Amino acid sequence: MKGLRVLDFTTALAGPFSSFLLRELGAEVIHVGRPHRAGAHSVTDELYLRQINFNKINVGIDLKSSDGRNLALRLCDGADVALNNFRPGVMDRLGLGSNVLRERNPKLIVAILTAAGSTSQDVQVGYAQIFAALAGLSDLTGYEDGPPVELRFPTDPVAGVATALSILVALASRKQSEVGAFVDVSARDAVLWTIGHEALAAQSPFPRRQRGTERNAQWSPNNVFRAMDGHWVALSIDSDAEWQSLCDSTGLGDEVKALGESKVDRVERRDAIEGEIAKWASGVPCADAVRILQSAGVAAFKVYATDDPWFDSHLRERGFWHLVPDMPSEVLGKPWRIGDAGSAPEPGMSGDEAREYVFGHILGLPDERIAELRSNSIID
Amino acid sequence: MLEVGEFIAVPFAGRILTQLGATVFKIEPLAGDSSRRVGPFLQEFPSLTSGALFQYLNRGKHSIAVKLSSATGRSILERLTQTADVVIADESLLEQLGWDEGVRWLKDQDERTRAVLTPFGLTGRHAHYRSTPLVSYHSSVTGSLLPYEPSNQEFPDRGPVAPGAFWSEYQCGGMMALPILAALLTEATPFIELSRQEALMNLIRPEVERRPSLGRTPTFKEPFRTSIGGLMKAADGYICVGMLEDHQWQRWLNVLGDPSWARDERLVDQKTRLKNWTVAYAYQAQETIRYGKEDLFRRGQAAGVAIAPILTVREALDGQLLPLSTLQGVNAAGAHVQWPGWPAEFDEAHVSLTGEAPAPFVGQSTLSALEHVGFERSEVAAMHRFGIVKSEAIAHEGRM
Repeated sequence: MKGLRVLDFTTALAGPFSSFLLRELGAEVIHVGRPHRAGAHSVTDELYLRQINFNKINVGIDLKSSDGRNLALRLCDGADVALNNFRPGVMDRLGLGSNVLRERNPKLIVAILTAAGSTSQDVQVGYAQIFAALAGLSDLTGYEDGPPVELRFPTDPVAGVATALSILVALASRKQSEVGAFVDVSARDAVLWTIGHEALAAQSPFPRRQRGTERNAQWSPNNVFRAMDGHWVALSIDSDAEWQSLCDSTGLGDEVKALGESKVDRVERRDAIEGEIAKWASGVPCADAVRILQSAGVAAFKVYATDDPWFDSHLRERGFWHLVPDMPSEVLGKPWRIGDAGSAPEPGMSGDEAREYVFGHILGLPDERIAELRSNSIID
Repeated sequence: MLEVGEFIAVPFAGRILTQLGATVFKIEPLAGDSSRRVGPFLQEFPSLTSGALFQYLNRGKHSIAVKLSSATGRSILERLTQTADVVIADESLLEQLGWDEGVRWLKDQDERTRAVLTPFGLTGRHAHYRSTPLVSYHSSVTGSLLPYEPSNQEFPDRGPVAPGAFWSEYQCGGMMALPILAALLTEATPFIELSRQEALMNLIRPEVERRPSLGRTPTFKEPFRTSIGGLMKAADGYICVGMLEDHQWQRWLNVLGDPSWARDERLVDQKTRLKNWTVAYAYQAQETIRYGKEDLFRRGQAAGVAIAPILTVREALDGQLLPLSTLQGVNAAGAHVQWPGWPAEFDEAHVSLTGEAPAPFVGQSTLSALEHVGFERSEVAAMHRFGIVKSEAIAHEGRM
């Protein structure tokens, strides 16, 4: 995607993650934050912002000032994509609405990501847990006999992926038509899109209770079990051969083995079987349990917490951790690896370098003008 | 495009490309993709095409049923590949061709874009670890953080849960589609490798990366809190609310009728509220149970509070509380149903949204596809008899 320029006016997580991904695909992403806060949301901390924007060209512009607005307009004139996730109407009030930008630059793709679409009157404010609740995912998540589950972390990025994909779709269309587009992404619809079969299931004449992935699967046993050291091990069995291996490697014995000789048996006797495995797991440290099971060809892994990837030799061998400038500790690699390029994230820019590139090189402003804008707090 | 992948992740990537107009050939084992046997089904008598999961992921695709582990199967794959612009695959391809040989073969096809998704990637000591959707999900860290309150209070002895509906497999497919689309746009033909563990971990990268500065390991019992609120009972169901800023809290108190506990000194500002999260949670839950979920949702949103009712998928589709703009009507397995279209609206770019053709029978296009790459009908018939391919057309002839 080299040569593609994205103007990124996003805040929080879902929006910045979509431009993070576009950058990882090779686009040039100019992230425009608020001056002196680099796009800070009032409570998202400084580290958070750097984590999700470090691979971009980071500048600050006061969009509420007329000088700042003019800078943003001129940057959009030379961009392929302008992206924001403000509440509906905010960019229009700033004089940076889709119509204004596209009248000046008809090839521009303007993308907006909101909780439920830019025309929704019902949802003005939404974060990850709101999209998940409105899409039905919270209701599908949890213990079979328990309440639904709030989903905070995992659904913002889903909206980011859907936004990045939608921008690529608009770019593909522009290749044919030579005109840009307005792309209106709904985070709630993005979540439903990625559980779409549940929409069909809900309309089946034969619906069933669906809460809890673990128990609605073709795999049985299929659950997490507490190991001796308090860590959890996830384990699933698909075939009869795997079941035999599980029983043999864990010494579960013939009586237990007989409980689950066929897949039908294992699904029917899920509770009894999982109870036996829980007993076994409680006497083995988690790492040993995983090693025993994987050696026997059984799908099993530790339920990873935030500290585990740091000490994971496999991820280290694959070079998944990277030191990048301005970050206090290592960062994760890309979600994909293209050719022999490895997983190192694309480099970003900030401070003097970013300012000089964006205002000096792209907009052609002389040094004195840049200094003046800075002293007036129009730019960082 | 050739798609050699089981269940959800790779078929979802294929579905995305189908929606964008690609002609997708799904290469399946003779018994069919395992997702064909997953219910619920849209018809009274389950068939290999009428499951909700299979329908959603495979509409508009063409099915070729081949036993790839046989020498003839392999030569069929090679001929089909010569006609393809893109090949997408998961570990099921590598298991059938032999892992190292499969990787070598894929890497050699350098005139086309190739993407392969495996549980832990192609290299490293866990490369050959066995996995399933649940196991891959839990290898990616998100799993250690769910469920929050009230589940973790009501069931203190139970373990972490995964998001419902095989959510994580869809995310792998979405991540896979991104570099493929980018390659098509730039007319490059790269070899793309994805590890489920790495792709899913990317969805939670800030939380993983901030572990050293946080100084502790958050869990579903003791999460890292950034907002006040949570999931609470309403009079007629559940709501969830999240407040990042003080003014939202003030407005939320107003929605709850300005209860007297709001003056508790542990709740005076956002910092102390985050510290006393469970105290704030218990207080709020006392109030929310007195109101209907729609009432709280409407008044909360009108006041600028991030709040939503917990909807079932059925309620989300009905759109009574909140219309869905991207729903589409389709005819699937003889039933007229609605499903989510592309999650964005475009004013200029055109997205076809679904393939026109219904989801295929196992081996529905085997004969035509193989004839297209130079096999004789009689050869295909022989392969069908020998259990190397399954062809709907040949089987149908045999029944006549």
